[in-house]
Amino acid sequence: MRKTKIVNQKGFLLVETLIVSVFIMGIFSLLFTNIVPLIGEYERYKNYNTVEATYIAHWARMIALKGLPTDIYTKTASIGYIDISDCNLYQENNSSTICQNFKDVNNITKLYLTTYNTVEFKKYIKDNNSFSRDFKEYIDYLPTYSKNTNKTSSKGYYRVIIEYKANNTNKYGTMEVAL
Amino acid sequence: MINKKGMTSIELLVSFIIVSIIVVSIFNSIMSYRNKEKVEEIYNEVDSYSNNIQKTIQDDLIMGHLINVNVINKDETILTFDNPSNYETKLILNSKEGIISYGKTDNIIDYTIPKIADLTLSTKSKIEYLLDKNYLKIEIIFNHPNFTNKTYSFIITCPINYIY
Repeated sequence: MRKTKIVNQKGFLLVETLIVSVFIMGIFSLLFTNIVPLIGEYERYKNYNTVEATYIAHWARMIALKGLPTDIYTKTASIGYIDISDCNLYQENNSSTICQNFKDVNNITKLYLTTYNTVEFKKYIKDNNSFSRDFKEYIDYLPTYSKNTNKTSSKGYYRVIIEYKANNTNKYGTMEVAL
Repeated sequence: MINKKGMTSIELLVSFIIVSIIVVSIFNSIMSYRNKEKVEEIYNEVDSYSNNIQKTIQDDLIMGHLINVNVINKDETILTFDNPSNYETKLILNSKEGIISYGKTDNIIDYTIPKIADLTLSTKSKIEYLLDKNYLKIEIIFNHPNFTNKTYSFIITCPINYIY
């Protein structure tokens, strides 16, 4: 007597199971790689433009306005940026000592004067390997402020950018300077 | 006639195993994010309080024009301003009670730190008159076991008698 084999058509094929698993793992990987970097970015942005940094930048602005001679502003307008952390630049109104005291008390590590529009400064920082990753990331995060065409160097608008150290962390701030 | 609807027990078992593996592998991540969320809530409250204190004190320091600092001790000081006219304010850091008090000498307001379990105002908070630099420096430190290095701090600085 011939025996006929009855094939059971219930259940999954192994191939079906593998395809579904690969598909689900792919979706999770996509979600993971898109969401996890956002958390890292948030951790960095906590140290940008805080209230403390903004008030320190305010004093940097006051000292720059009072202490820097006009030719520094002219130079900044032509190049796009100048490092003003050297207190010997502050020749007006005996501001050199005030500058040094400001830097010491607030642990200022970087101090830049730039045009209101930060495009040139961003280009300079991006291509320069002598700056720390933290600083580069902050400058990259800053907007270019290029849409506001009423605020240009010819109308006396500039910007100070500060980096200072607090609790072993670099923190950053910026403030508009109007001559 | 055999009913071909429904699932076999092996299909159910395999589906259950796959879902369990996925849940277990992401469980730790989800729990760590939940803990992070709780810590961030604490940071947000402390940030909000700190920003309020900074604005209150800095408004006087910048617009009132600080001309003198009389440090009574590291937790108490009297600040003198001259814009628009001479007036004095008092700043007191009470670490024991968790209160920062500030205001004009006849109208001092208590700013109690957020009521969060284990959050304290550190005894290392201080007010300094840096004589050699002619600067006022106020350092306020909070302690909480979930903060990075167990502390959160900010500084308020102002040059004394700065000529605008």
